[in-house]
Amino acid sequence: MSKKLSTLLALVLIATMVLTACGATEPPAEEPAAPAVEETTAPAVEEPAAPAEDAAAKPLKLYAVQHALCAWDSFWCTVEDGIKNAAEDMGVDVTILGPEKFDLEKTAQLIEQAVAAKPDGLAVTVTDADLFRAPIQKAIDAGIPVVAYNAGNGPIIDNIPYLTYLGQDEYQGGYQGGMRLAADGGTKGVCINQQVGHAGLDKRCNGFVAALGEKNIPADVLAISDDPAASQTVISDYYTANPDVDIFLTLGPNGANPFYAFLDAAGLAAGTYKHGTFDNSPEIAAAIKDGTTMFGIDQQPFLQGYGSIQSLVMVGRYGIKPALPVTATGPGFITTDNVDFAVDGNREVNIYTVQHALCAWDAFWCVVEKGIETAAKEQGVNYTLLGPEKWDLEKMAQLIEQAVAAKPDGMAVTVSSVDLFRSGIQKALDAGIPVTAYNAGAGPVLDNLGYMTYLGQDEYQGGYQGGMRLAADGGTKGVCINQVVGHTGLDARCKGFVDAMTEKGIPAEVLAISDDPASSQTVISDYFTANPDVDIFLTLGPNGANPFYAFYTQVGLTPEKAKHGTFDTSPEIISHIKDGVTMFAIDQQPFLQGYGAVTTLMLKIRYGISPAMPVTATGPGFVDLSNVDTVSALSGKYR
Amino acid sequence: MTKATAKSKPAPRRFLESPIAGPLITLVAVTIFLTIFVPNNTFLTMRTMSGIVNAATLTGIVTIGITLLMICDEFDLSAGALVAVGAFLYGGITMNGGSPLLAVLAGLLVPGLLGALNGFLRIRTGIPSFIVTLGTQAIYRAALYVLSGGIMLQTVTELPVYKVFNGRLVGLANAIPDANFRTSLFWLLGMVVLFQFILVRTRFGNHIFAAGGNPGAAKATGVNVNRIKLMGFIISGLLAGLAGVMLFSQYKTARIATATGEELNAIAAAVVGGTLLTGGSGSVVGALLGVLIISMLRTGVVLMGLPSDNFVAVVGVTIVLAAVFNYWIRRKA
Amino acid sequence: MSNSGNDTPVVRMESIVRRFGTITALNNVNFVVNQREVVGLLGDNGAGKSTLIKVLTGVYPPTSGKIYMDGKLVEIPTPREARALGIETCYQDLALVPLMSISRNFFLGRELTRSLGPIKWLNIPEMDAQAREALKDIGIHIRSPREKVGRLSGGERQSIAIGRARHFGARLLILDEPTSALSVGETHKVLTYTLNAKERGLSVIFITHNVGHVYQVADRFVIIRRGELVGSYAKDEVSEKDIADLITGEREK
Repeated sequence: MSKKLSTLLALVLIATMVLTACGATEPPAEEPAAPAVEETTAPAVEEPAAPAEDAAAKPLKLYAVQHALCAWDSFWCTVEDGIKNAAEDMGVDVTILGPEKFDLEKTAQLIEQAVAAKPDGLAVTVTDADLFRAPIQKAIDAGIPVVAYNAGNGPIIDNIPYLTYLGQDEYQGGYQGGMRLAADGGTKGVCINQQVGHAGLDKRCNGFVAALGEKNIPADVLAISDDPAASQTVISDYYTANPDVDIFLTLGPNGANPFYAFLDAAGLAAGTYKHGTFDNSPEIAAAIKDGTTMFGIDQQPFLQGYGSIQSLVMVGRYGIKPALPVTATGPGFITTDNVDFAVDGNREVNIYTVQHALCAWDAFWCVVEKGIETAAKEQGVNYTLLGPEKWDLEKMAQLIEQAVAAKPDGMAVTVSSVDLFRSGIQKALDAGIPVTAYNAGAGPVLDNLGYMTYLGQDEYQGGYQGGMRLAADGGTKGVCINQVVGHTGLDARCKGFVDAMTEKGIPAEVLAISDDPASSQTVISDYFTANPDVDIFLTLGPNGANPFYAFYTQVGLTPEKAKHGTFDTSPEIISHIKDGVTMFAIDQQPFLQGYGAVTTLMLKIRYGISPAMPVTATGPGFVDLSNVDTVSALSGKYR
Repeated sequence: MTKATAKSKPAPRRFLESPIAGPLITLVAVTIFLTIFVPNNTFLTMRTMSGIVNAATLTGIVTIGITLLMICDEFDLSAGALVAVGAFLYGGITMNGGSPLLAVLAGLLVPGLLGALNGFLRIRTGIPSFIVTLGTQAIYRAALYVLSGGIMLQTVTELPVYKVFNGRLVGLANAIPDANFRTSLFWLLGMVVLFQFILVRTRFGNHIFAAGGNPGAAKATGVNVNRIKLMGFIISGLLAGLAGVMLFSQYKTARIATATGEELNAIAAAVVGGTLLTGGSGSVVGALLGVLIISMLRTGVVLMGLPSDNFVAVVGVTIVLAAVFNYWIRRKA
Repeated sequence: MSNSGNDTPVVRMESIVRRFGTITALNNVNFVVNQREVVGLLGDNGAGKSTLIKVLTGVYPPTSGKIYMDGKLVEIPTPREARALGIETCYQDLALVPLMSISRNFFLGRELTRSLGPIKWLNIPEMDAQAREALKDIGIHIRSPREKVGRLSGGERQSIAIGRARHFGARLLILDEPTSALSVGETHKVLTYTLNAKERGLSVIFITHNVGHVYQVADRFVIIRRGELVGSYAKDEVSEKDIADLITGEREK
């Protein structure tokens, strides 16, 4: 083209770029972790973040009300240790209340007392849901976040809307125990239950039987009593009638003791049977050491105390809510590896965190790194953060090797590629270094790699819980709007939603849209034309919410006519939570991924506490009217 | 001396020769089919029709540029990336209080210049544009990532300039219920009229046909084929930028991945609209028909309650059928 | 020498030498085309015919030698220059755009426009009319100027190219293998149009292998062999067989 034209255009280009560079500022924002979730979260912030002081330093006043005290029940000393340690680590103030003896009415009164003190958070042992419902509800009504610990069944079963129950998942204990016992096969198993009818003990046996069933090994439940002599005879008679039994599970010292007596009397050779038990005791510990018993299952009371305080701090400071109605603190397995573990709260902890992206070039990770930094500071943990300069999984595999070579006390890794990282992580495990996965990974079972746990969002749960919330007041028809059908994470979200809807008796289906907002809006509109009775909508991120809102305005919907929930947050979504169009946004809570990774390693290294579940959910975290202001103020830094 | 008959062809025959014959027939057929088979008579309603149009406008704008390029036998696979660039610049400047005029100029001219870069690379290296723009697509997106820091732009503030480029036609909506048309419709029609005129009624248009139909012959008669193609790439870039401006004006969102795959949608629409993949023939009006047909089919799939992830398959089949049909119609003429 | 209406040749190429590295493609070739003359340019493959024509049409310059047009010394550095001087080449496939109409092809690169202020647009009615007229003038009757060129036969296409060249003031037409791949009837048409062109004042260089075809229309034959001019013969001096022998070297001079 002519020279003049070229020159003119070049000048315009230069001028434009210069002016653009001057005009545009660099707002903080987030981007998704590439393999974990496809969605972008909170983008360029419109209003500047309000709080002048750092959220991490906000002081909180908390109360813990329990049905027993260390003073007269030594079990609770460990729990209270956990509470006090957490309070010290996180810089918060906790008051522990409990009756002088086992007295549930008195405990209920203490709950009332705590509520009257107007704390920033309340932890309660929900030993009797019916008795405690009224005072706990008062706390919730007053806007005080409440968690249950050690006793309780979760907000749904207890029919009290507290945030979560921290305690052992009895079914999981039996299930995981059964899986371990049956790992090398077996002929027949038996679960020895000293209190058939006790909900918790029955669940343990259910889990055990289910696990063995998966391995095609038949299993029974054998009822004994609290009388050790009679129990020993019952076990012996059972064995006579079933000489092929080679897998045994006992549910505590009251079951283990008669079992050991039976073993002595029957003279069973080591190696011909497998035995696991719940709880720990000197006998059990000895039996673990000499190989008689494969493991003891600990409900990890320290973690019940520590975790309940941590949950309240997450809510109070960052608006981060617990992901699941039940937060498992157990089962924790005691084996020959850790039976002699010496707890040391002041033990020095040096860890390595290796991730596939860095805050420097992917804004999403700034929040994760903030979580790591905050936890490390609070808990007095030294950490080294490693990550490649760009998306490069090979480089990351090398960094893992590098970390292993440094012989840290623990490692946290984003397991974005099991195949590439397997050998490096296995090296760490072989060297006795505990490893945990965060943000990316499928858990030790699905990844077939022995790391402790995976901290990340449980996609199915997010969709399920979201669906439950949306359908709480009923509805006619629901739709899950999925912009990448075929993406396992997004599909899992929709599956959870549809399952929840089905439970509530509301028909629901999945609508496929694309990443193009214009055609997506029309698709949603057309769907609504064909299904005018749809009144519940779930979108899976800003890419779905954006055209949904356009459709919503176009068709003139109102919160009365349609309920909407979405995954992820964005300025648009937050504004619609505030104006009532959107009931909630589900956040994967990247801060918690980083914070939780450090905490998990710290608890293992100092207290020998293992995470209870192969997948530790950090999300879904619900952002709704109750915490939207906190969340939007922290957007970009902590959220 | 040879004598030839002085009679010219009958009108229907002449119509079939026109590049839009095939797509026009297809459009009518699809409309009739959907009117009959969509339950509850929901197809021929204002809401559905305006939805079809709205879903088609942005791709339609890009398709105009792609069509011109395809006629002169070139491809622009970076069109989607250029849409994103346009949206980002326009969005970024308006969100930060910059002048709307500057925002629009940046949103149009920078993609236009990147289009020129596509053209230069194609001409200088001689590598087919399919390959060249496959490469530049990645470069432009990567540059966008680096310059923007990976953020997503989003705003909730409604600015007057947004209304100009893609605001709701509120007056119309009030007059006719459910008539959800937007100003994007006017932009689309305006661009269609303008570029159809340029294509069939100007020298430049004649040269575009020649450059695609027989570049050797064009060169021999003094047509600067390289210059024509360069202009084609620039126009494609400008129109992609315009689509980006309009996209941001309505949805007030721009991500690095915005408009991924848009170039393929445009090529598909161009083919359905009668433009030959081999170059030398096509129509801007055909482009419009092509996007409308595809948009109608998408709506039809949803309205008929078919599983919505079948849509991609439906479009794929349509493109093949339409291309074959268009070709067959030409041969009949 | 054959009869011409004017003394000065349209083109005179004098002592043309063209070397490519160590290969001499043309060695001191003299070549003349007179006014209103059809010259058949013959020679076997690799003889140097195409090199000679490429020099004449500006594809490359001669290593040495001079070219005169209408008696004046000229430089032909590019094909553009050649065209500007009135030298047009009509390739069978490369002259027209098949998917475009006859009149658009006719005026390609030289379209007629109307204008309103700064906006110019095609004057299609005028283009149609003029194309039809110009072709009629040369003896080509077309059905419709809107008809796509691709529908026409090879011979018809060739004729339109000829007509176009003539209309836009070409002085010298170069037809490169114009009858190859044509049927008998088509060949006849092309030969007819060639003669028409001559009648209307053009000179034609007719390059071919087919002695039979060119013998019907040419006034003179120029034969090249191995980069050298074998000779220039008027039609009444040689027979078809003579020409064939001269090409292959069976007969010397």
